[in-house]
Amino acid sequence: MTIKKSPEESRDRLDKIFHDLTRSLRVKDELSRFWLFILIMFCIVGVWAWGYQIQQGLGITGMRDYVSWAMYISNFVFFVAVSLIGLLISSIMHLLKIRWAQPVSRVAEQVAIAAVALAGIIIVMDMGRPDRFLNVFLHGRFASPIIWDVTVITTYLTISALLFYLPLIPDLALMKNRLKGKVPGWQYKIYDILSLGWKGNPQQFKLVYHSLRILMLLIIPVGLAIHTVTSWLFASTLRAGWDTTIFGPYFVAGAFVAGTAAVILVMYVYRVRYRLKEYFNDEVFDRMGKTLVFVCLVYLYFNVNEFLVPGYKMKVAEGIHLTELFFGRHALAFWFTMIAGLILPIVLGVIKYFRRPLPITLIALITLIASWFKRYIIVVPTMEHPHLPVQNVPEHFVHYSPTNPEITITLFAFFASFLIVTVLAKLFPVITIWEYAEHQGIDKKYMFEDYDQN
Amino acid sequence: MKKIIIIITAIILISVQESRSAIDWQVPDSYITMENPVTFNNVNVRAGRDLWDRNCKSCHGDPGKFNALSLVPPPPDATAEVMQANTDGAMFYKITYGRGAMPQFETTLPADDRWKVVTFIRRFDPRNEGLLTDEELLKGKIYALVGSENSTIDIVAEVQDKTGQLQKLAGSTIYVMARKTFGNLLVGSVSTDSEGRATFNIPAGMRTKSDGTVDFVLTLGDDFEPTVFAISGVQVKEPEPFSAPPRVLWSTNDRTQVWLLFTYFAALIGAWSTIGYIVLQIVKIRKLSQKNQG
Amino acid sequence: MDKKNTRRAFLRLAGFTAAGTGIAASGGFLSACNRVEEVTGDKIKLLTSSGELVEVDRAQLTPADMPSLSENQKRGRAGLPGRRWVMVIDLARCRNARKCMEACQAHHQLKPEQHHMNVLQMKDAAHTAPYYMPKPCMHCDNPPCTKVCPVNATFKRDDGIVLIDNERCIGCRFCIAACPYSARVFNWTEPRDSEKYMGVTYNIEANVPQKKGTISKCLFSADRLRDGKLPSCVSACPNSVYWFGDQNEDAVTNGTTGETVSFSGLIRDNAGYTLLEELGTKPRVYYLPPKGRAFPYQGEVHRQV
Repeated sequence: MTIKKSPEESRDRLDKIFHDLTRSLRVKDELSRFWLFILIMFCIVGVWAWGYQIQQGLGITGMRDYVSWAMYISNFVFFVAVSLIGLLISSIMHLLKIRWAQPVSRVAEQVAIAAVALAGIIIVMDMGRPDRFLNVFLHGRFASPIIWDVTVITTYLTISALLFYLPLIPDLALMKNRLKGKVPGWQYKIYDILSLGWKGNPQQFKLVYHSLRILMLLIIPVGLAIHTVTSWLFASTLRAGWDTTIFGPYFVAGAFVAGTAAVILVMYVYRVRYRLKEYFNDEVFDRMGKTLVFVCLVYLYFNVNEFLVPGYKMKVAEGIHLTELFFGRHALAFWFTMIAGLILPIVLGVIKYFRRPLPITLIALITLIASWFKRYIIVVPTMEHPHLPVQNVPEHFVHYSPTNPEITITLFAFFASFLIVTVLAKLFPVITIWEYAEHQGIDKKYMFEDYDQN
Repeated sequence: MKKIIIIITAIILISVQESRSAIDWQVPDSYITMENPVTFNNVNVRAGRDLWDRNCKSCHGDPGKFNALSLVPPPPDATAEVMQANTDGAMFYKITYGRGAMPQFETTLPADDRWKVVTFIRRFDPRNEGLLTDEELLKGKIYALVGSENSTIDIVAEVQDKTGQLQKLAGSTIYVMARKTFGNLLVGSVSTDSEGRATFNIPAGMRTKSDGTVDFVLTLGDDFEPTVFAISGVQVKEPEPFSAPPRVLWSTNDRTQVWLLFTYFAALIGAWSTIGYIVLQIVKIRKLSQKNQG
Repeated sequence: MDKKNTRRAFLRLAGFTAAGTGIAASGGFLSACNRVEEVTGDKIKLLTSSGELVEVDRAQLTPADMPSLSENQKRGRAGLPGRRWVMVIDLARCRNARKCMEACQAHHQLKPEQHHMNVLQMKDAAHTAPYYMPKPCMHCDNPPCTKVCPVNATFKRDDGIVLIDNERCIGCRFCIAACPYSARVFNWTEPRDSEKYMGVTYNIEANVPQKKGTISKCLFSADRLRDGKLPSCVSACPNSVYWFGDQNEDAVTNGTTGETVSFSGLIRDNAGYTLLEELGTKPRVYYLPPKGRAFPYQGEVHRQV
């Protein structure tokens, strides 16, 4: 364990940590304004495109009767996948008491909240009749995987928000204590309300630890459920390529790959933008790199299972599907997902050089893009090959290609998730201050002593 | 490109076919001289008519009405000159082997039936005018009662003789049918005895409606003017006991399996009560702060 | 060329004649109408069960069975008591005339690319003979589509028909993904003639008027069955391909010839089978193999003839 520091040293160190970690709240330069402007513009354009889609019908997309699930559903699966990282880092790694993962946990929760929120929004955007969304609650059919999905996504979003909020309470108190007059009044008010008048006494900390432990345990089944149920949307059908029993674990493993890559990216941006080199240090990136290699290996294992077993037998429909993936229309995307999204991070990630912040970030970026294409490859080719021939319909019913409004809405989803992460980073420190400080050997009593006097 | 070639070929083929009239349809000599083995009489013409209605009418239409489908080449009406110009054998050949849109009936109709169709078409040959006088249809009547234990139908049939008197109808076939939603299904037939009576034994394993009843419809043969006698609601079997529909995965909530509902709600309540507990803890944290202040 | 034109003219004429008779026959015909739609002077617009919109004199109208939307929804969900509808398709008799598809699209107000009934050109293996296969909804007894519906908008009635409630459907299209027979279509844009049918009361048993953003599919013309008529496709077929009836009665009737035979006997004697039976969906549509075909397979020949 870290050696306890003297009171003076503790106070100085805490000031420094607080100053560094609240930099994200204070940075208000041209670049951040520009970034926010871009995000908001894209979101407005996306919402406008959605309005256009509601008015014109889903016919403005490239989807038709045979390929009736396409890019929106790929986005949905992608965001659900990314959100699962909250489970891995802020729950499992915490419960296993993995020290280096501690500064990452809030980043993971930010990513999880943003992704799961967007998953919920994009699925509404995919609906033919979003005006009837309430029917899901009024007439919900409990045997339908969609109802399970709606249930579990709502639950996961709530738990993620609580997991984000609970460790934040002491931080909010610190900010309330130290940032009076330094931030806009409304922002200070938020801290004031959300900090619940935190005093930092042992009973309160005990309650926080107690609640956190329960939530971390609860999020494990819920997190596994969210992605397993999403995989069942596909696996519960009779289509070649989806009709497989390993889809649950296959999706979960894939989700960890996408989520780890996303967290590495966000971490790197914080490290550079908010000058947090000491916090998101080389060791964290190295460990996250190793994590990425590990989850990629697990995912590779499932991929081998997923393709080798049906490929060995080549049943009629499966055979058509696999041939199309390996050599056909989707071969380029397929091999990109396999090589760039799986082989590349494994091969490069085992070399220490590539686990330094910048290289691993670039690898993570490529992996994340490949992860998105992986979802596309899971959804679209299977839809293009139903059991019976596609006949007596126009040519564009047979093969799918996304249209501009569809791409706009997809971009909206990405930028909206960036916006959520950005807003969270602008409002709250990106690392749990008190927890980090404690790990640095600062006793909790020094953190809230000033507060008691006020 | 391939498609265009196919279409062009098809157009050429069709126009070639159009240019040839039906007479150009080459029939081997062995067929032209063939004689129709089926006797030209009312019974065979009627049989031929039934076959025509089932197999030919959809394209050739009703004889004399010239309501054939507008195909290329056009299917001739049965009374048309082109049709009647064929010899019996030639007609038989064309029915047997078909050509273009005219299907072959070699595999679908026995030779005897194909000849009966020819016989029916010949009914409209001007040369046969008056050869076959329409027999006057007989006027018959059927009465029936359900016998003991609902296992038989006792039938009495009568026929009007030339003076208009009703006589017992002996040795005639009575057709027993069951009324179904969209038509009558032949169940069996019985012959009347010299007294004009017959007893039809209701088949033991007969399919009934769900209440165990059958609506019987009795008719006479083709020699009679259409006449039916209906006996509705004959209780042939016990009504089928009502069985509650099973709980199945594909059904509505009220018929979904209990295990599924239990699992779903157990998980839902479990997760959300835990979340509720956490919210309580947060409230507690807030209360603790207030206590310290006070 | 000349001939083609006359043919087209003939068809057009035939269409007019049909419409003409439609209006002429008032009584029983009107009772089959869905609902009074719009009152303009003393003329009233009516939607016939065959999907035509006609304008008739108000004086001609007699009050008939015109249930309200809620009543219609209720009885549409209940189905016809004691029935188990079944269809038999004789592949040996299909020559791709597509009258079934036309009748179906007229009845259910479908666009040309929307098929409740689709005649496919099938070829099972490399060297087997091709054949035409009309493909409606299979109305499975273990329907994968109703299993996944999140809002119970598609459901199976006790009479065996899998139906869709377009007033409830949220357009998630999970049922399209789940259906292995590609039997379902979606209204991606405004449905056909949506302006014409605006305000017409929705009929759950015919899926008309079609609604944007919702699913539609073959429903064995449930509205016609209620009137004691055979489904549109069955009645329209010129080649006696379709047999339709009630499995509880064990009788099916041919839509072309009107002949009624025993259902079990028909599928037993002709080696009837169901489509993709290995998937365990238990279809209610049976096929008779294309053996001893009345019409040779001629590819796309229906376009020329």
